[in-house]
Amino acid sequence: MFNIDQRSATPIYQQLIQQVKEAILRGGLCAGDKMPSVRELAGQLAINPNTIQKAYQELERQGVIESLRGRGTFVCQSVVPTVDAQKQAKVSESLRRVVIEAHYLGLSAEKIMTMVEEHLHDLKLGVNR
Amino acid sequence: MPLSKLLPSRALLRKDWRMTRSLFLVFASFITFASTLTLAYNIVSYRAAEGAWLGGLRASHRLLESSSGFHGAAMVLFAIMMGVVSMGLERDKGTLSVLLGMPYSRRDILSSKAVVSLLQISLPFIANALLMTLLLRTNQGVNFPFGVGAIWSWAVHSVLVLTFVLCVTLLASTVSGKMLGAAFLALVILFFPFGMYALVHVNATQWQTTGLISHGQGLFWHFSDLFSDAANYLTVPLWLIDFPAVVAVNSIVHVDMNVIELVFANSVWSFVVVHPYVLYLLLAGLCLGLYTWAQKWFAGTELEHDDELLALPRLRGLISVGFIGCSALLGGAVLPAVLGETKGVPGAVVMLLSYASSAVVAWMLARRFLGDSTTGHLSQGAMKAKRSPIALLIVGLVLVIVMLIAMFSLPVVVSRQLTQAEEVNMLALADSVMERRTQALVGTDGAPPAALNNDFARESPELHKREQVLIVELAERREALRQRGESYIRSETHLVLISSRVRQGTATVVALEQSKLYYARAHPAQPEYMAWEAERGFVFMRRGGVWELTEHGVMDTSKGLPPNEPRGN
Amino acid sequence: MHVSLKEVAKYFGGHSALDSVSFDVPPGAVFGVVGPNGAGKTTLLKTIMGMLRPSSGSVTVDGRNPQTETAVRVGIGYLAEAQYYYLDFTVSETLCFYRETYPTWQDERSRELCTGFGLSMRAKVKHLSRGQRTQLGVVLALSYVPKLLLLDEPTAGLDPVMRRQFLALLMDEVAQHGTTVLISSHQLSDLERICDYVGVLHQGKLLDVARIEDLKRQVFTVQVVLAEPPTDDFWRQEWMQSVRQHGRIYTVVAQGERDSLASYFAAAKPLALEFIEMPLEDIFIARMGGEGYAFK
Repeated sequence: MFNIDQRSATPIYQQLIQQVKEAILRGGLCAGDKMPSVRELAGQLAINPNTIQKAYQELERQGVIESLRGRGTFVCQSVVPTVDAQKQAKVSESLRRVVIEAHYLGLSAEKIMTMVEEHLHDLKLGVNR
Repeated sequence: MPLSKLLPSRALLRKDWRMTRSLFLVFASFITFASTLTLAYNIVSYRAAEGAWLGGLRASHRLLESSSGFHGAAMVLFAIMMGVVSMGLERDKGTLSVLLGMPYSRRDILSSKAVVSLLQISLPFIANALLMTLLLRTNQGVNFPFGVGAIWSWAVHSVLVLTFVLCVTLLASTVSGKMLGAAFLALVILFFPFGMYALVHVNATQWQTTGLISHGQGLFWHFSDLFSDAANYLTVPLWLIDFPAVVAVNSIVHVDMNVIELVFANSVWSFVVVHPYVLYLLLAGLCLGLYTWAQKWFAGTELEHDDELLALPRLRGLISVGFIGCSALLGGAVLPAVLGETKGVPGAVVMLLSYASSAVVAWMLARRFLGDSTTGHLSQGAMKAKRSPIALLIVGLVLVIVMLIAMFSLPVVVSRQLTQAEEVNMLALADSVMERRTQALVGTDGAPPAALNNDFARESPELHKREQVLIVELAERREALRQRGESYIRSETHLVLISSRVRQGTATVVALEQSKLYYARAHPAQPEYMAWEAERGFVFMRRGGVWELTEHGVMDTSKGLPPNEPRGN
Repeated sequence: MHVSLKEVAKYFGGHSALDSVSFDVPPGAVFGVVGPNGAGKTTLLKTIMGMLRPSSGSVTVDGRNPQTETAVRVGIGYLAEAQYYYLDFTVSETLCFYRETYPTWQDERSRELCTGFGLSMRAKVKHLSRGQRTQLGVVLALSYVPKLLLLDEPTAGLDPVMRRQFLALLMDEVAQHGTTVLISSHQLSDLERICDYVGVLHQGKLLDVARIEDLKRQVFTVQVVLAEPPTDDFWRQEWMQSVRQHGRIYTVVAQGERDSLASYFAAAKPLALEFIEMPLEDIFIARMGGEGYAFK
């Protein structure tokens, strides 16, 4: 289900967080679905369970998943996006960086916007939902 | 300390046994073949030949008496192999490092190997001793030249000596990292005294031929002579071969003497050699000492030197010096013979050059195989074995006390057989007594032959008187025959030993008398001689340090008496 | 189990295999050791195992010295690249020996693993292939659930499928029992997946210990295309590991946060600016300043 690219500059736990979130958005994981246990995932992907633990903890902190004692970890019923000023600033910075890179790769502003819209649409987050 | 802690772990024991069981089977087969099977074969042959076969049983007797020659050497080699394989195989194959990573202490590892090897050495002897005892007990009709005591003393003697060889080899294995190195070292240690003596002796002879050092003078020659004695006593395989013979040579053993009495009766050397209990206790103590030493060294071995000839670098200097020294002596012994120049000053020069060149070659070889003596840091301090010195002291004291008790109370010999020297001489005496009788029937000019009294046996005065009476009777018989015209011109008397037995200071020798009386023939049609055979028993008693022949007679009188027996008794 | 080394040194003859090595591994962590051949990785693991005696310094596992206290070794498992077995024993005899040695041995586990690997109980070890012997080693090391696992190049000689299988098994073990793992390997790709920390061993010295994600966050290769060459000072930043120039293309290996790096270069108004992904080896080389892996 998840695919880890160890060569990527992104740390593995962050990749995992992103992929879980993406899976939820795409519908691969629905609200209330049971997540694979840390042990199962470690065995399947052959990655360090501490890393998985870290990812799960972060996802739980963000309110994406919740762990119910004795029963496992589940996708939250309703993902309530929390508005966090600091986080927003970070996202903005990341966006800025991406824009800089894109620009210097030769992408025009329109192309950049088109790409953003494509992603939004793909993730079913677009304006026309 | 609970008993379970004293013994090595069961898993280790099982593993060590499993590892060495093929070698054990070969060894056990060899011992069984050499002892029980040979005895069984001899018994069968004896029965088949209906008593006429005497040689076979003697062979078994010889084996038990001395573990001589081939058997002795083979047993020593087996013991060396067992010792070398038990430690060296693990080293060579690399499993020792795995073992050291397991929750076993070095002490447990070595003790397990020692216990397994000890069992593997003693079990064949015990089993065979039991079997041979059984054979003896179930074959009452066979005239065995030895008793059950001899069998068990053979077993104990062999086990003890082989255990000593094993301990030496275990010690060598902790020093050397390779199996071959350990085997070589063990052989050197066991044969060292003898080999060293030979080297010294040959070199001394070479120097003598240069004419610069005269023979017979000075400390050097005293040392050489002393050394030969020590060498003989200290070389283990010679023990196995010679021990009973040495006992025979120094045979002043009274069946009831204890060690202290013997000390005052004999020289220092005999004290050590002649008294089996003392010797065996010493040997057992030595084994314990060697084992403890091996444990200590094993604890200090640098494991990373497993692949090298020498696992204990701090011995490098000692072994190198020894090797160079012996090589120099070897060169001095061999090279002048090859070069041919041995006399006078040129001879001395050649000797010195031989020493120098051999030493240099040996030094280079030592550097190559034993490694460089300039080492960097070695690990700081060997691991000290956690053993209380008090325990060792107590063990030592107990050993000394046991030894003292043995020395004062136990008679030295419980079940003794006649030694070969004794047997031969007693038989010679008996032979001469019979010869005297038979000669009396022939008649001689001059005095009748005297009995052959010697250092080991003599005729008792009472017997001598009785024999004189009989000789007179035989002389009368001779006269009577001569008057009838029958006389004898010659006699031949011959005794063949059948068996001998010692009980409580009395020795009984059974021999077959084979005698001939040659007729003085008037003409060729008459028979040439009269011959007879009679089984005779000769009874000797131990008196004054000598065996005294007190009586003798024909064993089975139902077939009639031979001519040289008194009539009407 | 907690592993702690303080100033550990080991000499063989005149040659120093380990030189003043110190680090700590907290319980439950996976610690990777990388280094070229002869760097001392095997010596290090053997010293922690208790097989070797350090020439100086101290090694403690759970506060106890593994070399002198044999009881500690009950909880330590070791898988070596160099495989030593009692060649004449059968598989089941080997298992039996280990079963009697380790009180925590789990028979069902060993049977399960053997069946999983397809190892026949009655086969003699000398008849097993190299891969099968590695598998036997895994069975032996895992069946008594050691609290500390020392793995010396365990995936060397395994094909990619077996390698992934092995790592999966290992991670499952860590997840289930919280085992502390020390693994030495050349396969940095494997270490990337499974390690919390990675240390570089070079000629007996431990050069650096870091978390992989920290490493990845802190070292980048940036490719900058500039119309005009900037001032010399521009390239003289101390966080720049190396700068190479081909005409107008500058390739910089730099340490720092990605965003600040991007801002710095953006200020020079480049024609093109690109962050290139760095494999772990290159990250190491950059951090070590070129020691160890680079040919001189």
